[in-house]
Amino acid sequence: MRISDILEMSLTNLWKRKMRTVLTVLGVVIGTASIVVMLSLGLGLKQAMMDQVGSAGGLTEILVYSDAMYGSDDLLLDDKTIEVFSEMEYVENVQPQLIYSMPFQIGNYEGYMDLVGVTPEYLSQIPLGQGEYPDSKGNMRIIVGNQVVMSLVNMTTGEWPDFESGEAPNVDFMTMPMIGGLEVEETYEADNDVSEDVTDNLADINEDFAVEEDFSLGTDEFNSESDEDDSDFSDDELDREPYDEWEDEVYSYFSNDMKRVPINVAGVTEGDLNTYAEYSYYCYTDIEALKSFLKQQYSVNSIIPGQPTDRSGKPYRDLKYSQLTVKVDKADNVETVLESIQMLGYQAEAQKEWLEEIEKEFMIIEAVLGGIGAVAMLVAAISIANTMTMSIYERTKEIGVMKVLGCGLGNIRSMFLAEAGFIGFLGGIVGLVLSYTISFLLNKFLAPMLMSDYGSNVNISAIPLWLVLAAIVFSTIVGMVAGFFPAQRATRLSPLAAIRNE
Amino acid sequence: MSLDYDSLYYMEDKRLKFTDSSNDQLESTLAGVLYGDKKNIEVDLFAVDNDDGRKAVIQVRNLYKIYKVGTNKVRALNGVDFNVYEGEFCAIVGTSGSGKSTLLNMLAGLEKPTKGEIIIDGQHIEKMNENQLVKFRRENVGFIFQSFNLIGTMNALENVALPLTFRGIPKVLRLKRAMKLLRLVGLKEHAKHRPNQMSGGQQQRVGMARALVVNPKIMFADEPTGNLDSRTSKEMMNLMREVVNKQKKTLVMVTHDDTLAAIADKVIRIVDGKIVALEDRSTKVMED
Ligand SMILES: Nc1ncnc2c1ncn2[C@@H]1O[C@H](COP(=O)(O)OP(=O)(O)OP(=O)(O)O)[C@@H](O)[C@H]1O
Ligand SMILES: [Mg+2]
Repeated sequence: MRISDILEMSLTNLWKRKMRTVLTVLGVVIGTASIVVMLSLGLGLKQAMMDQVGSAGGLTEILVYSDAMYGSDDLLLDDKTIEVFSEMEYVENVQPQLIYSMPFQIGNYEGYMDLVGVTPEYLSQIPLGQGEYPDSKGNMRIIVGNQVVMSLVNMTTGEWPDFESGEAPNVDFMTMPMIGGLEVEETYEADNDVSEDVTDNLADINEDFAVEEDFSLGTDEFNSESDEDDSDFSDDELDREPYDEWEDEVYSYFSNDMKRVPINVAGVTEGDLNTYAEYSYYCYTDIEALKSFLKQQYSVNSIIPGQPTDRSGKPYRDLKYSQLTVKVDKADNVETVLESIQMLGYQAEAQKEWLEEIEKEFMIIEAVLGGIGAVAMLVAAISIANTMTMSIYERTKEIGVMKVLGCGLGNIRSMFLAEAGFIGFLGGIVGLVLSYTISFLLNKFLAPMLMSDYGSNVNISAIPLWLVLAAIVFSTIVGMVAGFFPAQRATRLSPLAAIRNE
Repeated sequence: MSLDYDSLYYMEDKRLKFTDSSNDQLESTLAGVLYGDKKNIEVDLFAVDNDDGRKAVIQVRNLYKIYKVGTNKVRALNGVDFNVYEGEFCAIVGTSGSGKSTLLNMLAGLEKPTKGEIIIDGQHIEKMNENQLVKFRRENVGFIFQSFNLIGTMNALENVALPLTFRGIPKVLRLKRAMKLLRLVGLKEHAKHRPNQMSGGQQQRVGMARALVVNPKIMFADEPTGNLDSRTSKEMMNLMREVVNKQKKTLVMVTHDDTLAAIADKVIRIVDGKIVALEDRSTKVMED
C-alpha cells in the first residue's frame, strides 16, 4: 500500500468519528501544553539568568579578580600582570577594570556610586540613552547608569523616595551639577573645615567649581604636598566619623572631612527607570581618565580608598586593578588559559564554567518540571490507547474484510499507528498553540510580579524553536507508542470475522 | 483413458501425492479416469491435465477439519478430495452445517486445515503463514461475501477500488479500473452511492466488481445470493456465469440452493463433511 493511501484512510477514519477524535486529541493537547509550559518556565528562568550574566561574548572571557583591597592575600593585578597574561597562548587581549567607590550629591539628594574605569572598547559597547561617550582626554567625565537615580536619598529629610514611595526623585544628571566626596588624608583636612554643615552645599559647589581648574593644572603641586602624610591618622579619623553623623540625625554618605570635587557627567545609559541592564546601577568612565583623576586627587604616598596596601600598610606606587578580563580566541581554549592563570596563583573564573554549572542546575529543574507535565501526557497516552482499542473493536469486521481482500498485516498495523500518530500530532500542534497562549499570559501578568529582580521586561516562560519541534515529534511518538498494542491486536484479528454473519 | 506403469513411475518421481484407492470418494471422483484393480497403489491423477487438456487450479487432498468444542470433536470436514479446473464454475452444495463454508474458508486460506493438502496454482497454501496467505489472496483470489461487506464509509467506486489500494496502485489508475468493472456489472450510474444507498442486489454486484477488480485467477463466493430474493439471485447467477465464461475465471461458490447450483459446471455435494456426489457436467457433456 502507498503511504498516501494509508494516511488518507487513517484520516478518513478519524474524521468519521469526529467527537471521539476531538476528545482524545484534547487529552494530548493538555498533556503537550503541560510539558511545554513547564519546560518553558525552566527555560525562561534560565534565559533570564543568562541574560543577566550578560553572556554576549562571555563564553570566551576569563575574569581574573583580586580581593586584596578587602584585606585578602589575593595576588595583585597591575600592568605587569596584564603583560604576563597578554603573552599567554590563545589570549587575544586583556582588559583591566578599576573600581573606585565614592558618595556623591546632586541637587538635594545624595547617593553612593561605584565608578568603574574601563577600556574605551568596553565603554563604547554600553548603550547610551543621553549624552555622549567620555574619552581619556581632559577632565574625567562619567556615564551614569539609568537606575542610579533610584538609589538617591534626600539629604535634608533622609527620605529615600524610590524605597518609600516608589518614585524616583526628579534629578537630571545631564544638567544638574554633581559633587563627589573623596576621603582625604590628614593634611587636607584643614581645607574642608568650611563645609561642616552638610546641608550647606551650595557654597561648596561654588567653591569646588572654582577649585576644579586648579586640579587639572596643578597635579605636581598636590603630590609634593602630601609626601609627608602618614596613614596612621586616617584610622583615627574613621573612628570619629559616626559621631558626627548621629549628631545630625540624618544619615549621610558624606563626612565632614571629605574633599568635594565636581564630577562631570557625559551621558546616561539607555533605558528608563524600569529597564534593567547590566550597566544600570553603575557609573562608568575611561580607565585612563579615572587613573589620572585619582593621581591628581591623591599624593603618591597616600592611601587611595579601595586600593590595597602592602604588609606594612604602605600604598603601592601604581594603581592596582580590581579585575582583568582576559579574552581568549576560542571557547575551546578557555579551559587551558584558565588553568595557566590559576597555576600562577590568581583568582580566576570563566563565565563558561559558571554557565555550565547553571546549565546543570537548570537541567534538574527542567527535568522536575517536565516530569510534572509528563503525568498529564501519560494520561493522554492511556486515553489514546483506549480510543484505538475501541475503534479496532468496532471495526473488527472491516479489518477482516480488508484482510480477506489481501491487505497486508503490516499495512493494517501502519493504518492504526498512523491514526494514533495523527491524534498525537494534532494534539501536539494544538497543544503548542495553547502553550504559546499560556506562555504569553504568564510573561504578561506573572513575570512582572515574580521576576522584578531581573528587570522589568524579562520573560518567565520561553519556548525556543527546538522545544516546538521536540513537542510535535514527542506527542506524535507518544500517540504511536500508545497505539502500538491496539494496532498489533488489529493485525491478529481473524479474517473469518468478516465472513461470519452475526 | 488408461495409465501404464511408466507414467505412474514418472509421477512418483515428481513426488506427487498418492492416495488410497480403496477410498470411496477417490473412486467416485476418479470414475472413468482410473481403472484401479491394484488396491495398494495410490495414484494421483489430479496433478496432470486430464484428457480434456484442462489444468487443475485447485487440488484438495484428504482434507480434514476438526473443531474441538470442549471435549467434543466436531468433524466439519472429514476427508475431502477433489479438483477444480481452470475456467470452471464449481458449486459446493449441502445442508446447513455440512461443512461448506469451512471448506471454502480453507480454500481461501482463511482457516488452517487440521490435516490434508490444498494446492492452489501449484502452491501448498496449508503451509503458508498469515503474511504469505494475505499475499497469496492479494495476488490470486477474489472474494464475494454473503453479507456483501462493503466498507460503509466508501462509495461504490471506492469500494471496488479497495483491493487495488492494497496492491499499491495509484489512485487515478485504480479508480479508472474500478469504473470499468462497475460498468461490467451494470452499476456505472451508482458509482457515487454509498452501500446504504443501494439495494442488496446492487451491493452484491459491487461486491462482485470488487472481487474481479484485481483480475484474480480464482474467485470464491460463500452464499453470494443468501441475502437476496430469488429473482435477484437468478440475475446474480447469470452474471457470475457470464463472467466465468467471458473472463475465463475459476469460480468456487457455496450455496444450499440446488436450483442455483444447476448453473455450475461442477457440483460437489457435501454431507457431514464428506463428498457424497460429484457431478461434472462438462465431462458428462463430453461423454455424451
Ligand atoms: N469455529 C468453529 N468452532 C466449532 N465448530 C465449528 C466452527 N465453525 C464451524 N463449526 C462446525 O462445523 C460444522 C460445519 O460448519 P459450516 O459453517 O462449514 O457449515 P455450512 O455448511 O456452511 O452451513 P450453513 O449452510 O448453515 O452456512 C458445523 O457443524 C459447525 O457447527
Ligand atoms: Mg456457511
